Amino acid sequence: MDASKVHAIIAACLADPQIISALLANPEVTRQNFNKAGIDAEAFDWQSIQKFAGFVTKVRQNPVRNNLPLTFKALSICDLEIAVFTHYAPNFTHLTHNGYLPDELRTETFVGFLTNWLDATNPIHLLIKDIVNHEWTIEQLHRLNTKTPDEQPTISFMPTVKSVPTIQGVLKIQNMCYDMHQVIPMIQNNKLDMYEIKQKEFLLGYWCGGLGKQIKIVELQAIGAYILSAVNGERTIRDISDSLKQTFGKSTDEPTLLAFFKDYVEIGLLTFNQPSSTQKKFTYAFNFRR
Amino acid sequence: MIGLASGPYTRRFLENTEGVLDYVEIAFEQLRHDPKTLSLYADTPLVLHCASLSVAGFVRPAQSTIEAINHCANQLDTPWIGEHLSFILAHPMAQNGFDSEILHLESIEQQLVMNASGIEQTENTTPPPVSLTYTVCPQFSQQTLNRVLENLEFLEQSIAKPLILENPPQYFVVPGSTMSLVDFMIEMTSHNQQIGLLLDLTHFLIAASNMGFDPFAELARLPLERVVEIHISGINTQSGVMWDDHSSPAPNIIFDLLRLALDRGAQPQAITFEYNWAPVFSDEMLIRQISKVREMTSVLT
Repeated sequence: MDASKVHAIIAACLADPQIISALLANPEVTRQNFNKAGIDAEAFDWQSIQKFAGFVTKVRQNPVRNNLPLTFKALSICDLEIAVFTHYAPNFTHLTHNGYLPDELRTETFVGFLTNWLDATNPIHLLIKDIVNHEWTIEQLHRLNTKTPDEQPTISFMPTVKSVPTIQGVLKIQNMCYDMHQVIPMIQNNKLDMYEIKQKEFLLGYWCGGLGKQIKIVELQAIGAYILSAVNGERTIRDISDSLKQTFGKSTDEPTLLAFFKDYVEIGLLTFNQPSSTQKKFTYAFNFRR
Repeated sequence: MIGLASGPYTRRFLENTEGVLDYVEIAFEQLRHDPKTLSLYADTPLVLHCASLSVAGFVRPAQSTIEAINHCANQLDTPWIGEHLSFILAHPMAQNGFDSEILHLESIEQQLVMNASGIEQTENTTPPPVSLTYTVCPQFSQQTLNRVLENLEFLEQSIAKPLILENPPQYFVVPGSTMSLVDFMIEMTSHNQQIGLLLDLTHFLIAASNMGFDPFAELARLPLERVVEIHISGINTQSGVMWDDHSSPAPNIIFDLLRLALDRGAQPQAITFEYNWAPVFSDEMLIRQISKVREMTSVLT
């Protein structure tokens, strides 16, 4: 079989892995087409060439590895690395047809692909999803937080239900199913024993702000997560309380609500703007992943 | 000499462990992408590695690429250039008698043409050749062997420094192959008496695992006296295939293969650890492996 033609076929498949899918989708057409050129299509191990295209794509994500080291390690430990990158190869090839992709965009694109590709009904995939969400959230907080001011404003008035709470720094709330305190040490020791890791749904608040701009992670109850998600620098405490009643069907008394906000003011996550003279009403809907 | 491939933490390792390394190996493609990389190693001997000459391919690199490689080679004052016994350029399928319309290749190849910036037309290829980002194991056949020998003759006239060739990993059978990797290398070195070898022990183990041959028996058949440099890196088995992994340490079997190579006549001038994919690597582990290799090669000095 002519080596130049064989190399041409392999090179075309690696340059654009969609070609492999096209060849496999029409085996008889492929066979006839290749026969005309004196090549035996059945001599090609298309699946292995696809995997190699995935491997090459993986190597091209080395800059992404710097931002998502645990994710990459977890994919490797779970024998998902080549499968993931084999599926990612066609997307990535087309993204880079017009030139080099900057590292930030490369990471963002990969995260978008991976979180969609993972199957939430598969416990191992769900675990990887938590890991990538965890790493990506931290990465995003680092990027966004460079734009927030260092100074922490002090509150010189007593907040009331008409006061408007504001998040200091950046807060992201994630639905999680696995405890990263348990998972991360396992990954760092190159093992993931699914029998040792319990799955349960919970909410984590990833906050970066305040003095020192350290990232803090706190477990939230559903109502707490709802309240913090409702804080947007315009809604008053009363607006949030009304919306809470609409969503959960029960109201929280004002002292309890004020105490909740007070706790977060004390750790620096929240501050208060002076109440606006114009009262605004919002209808707010927040969807939790159930 | 013992060296480390240039990667995210190489500079830090050099600063933290003065005197442990003899050189840094740096890729031509890395320098081409980011020339500032060179400034990281101002006081360090450098060896140039390359993946752009497509020695085992049927399309030669552009003259501008050869000139750029020569420029780097002189700038680094490298003792040799380590290149791959692989291809990275190929003719477009449409030029080889394939019906591009059926596969909608016209639009894909148009995109490849648009992305072919910097690739000059060589050997009157129209449209430009397909240019890959990773080297590929060639078909091991008489036709490829003849082409490799022609390419080497051409490059020996064009390249400023001695060329040494690195054995490729084998991840799939290349259709039309009529020889094994080792037989191909034996034939190549018997017909070209000048070419030196860059023995990549990890690539060799990968080829053995994926192609189903005994790495020790086959390694012993190689012309080991032609080995100028040795590469060492990690492996990772995923989806049933063994892959090269520059982010993990080499397993013990790699050092067993190194022992065999040394016992059977290999006298490498340099041994490079290719741990250049991960942002961090254990200094302690790397120092331990370097010490091991120094001990194994101490009889050569």
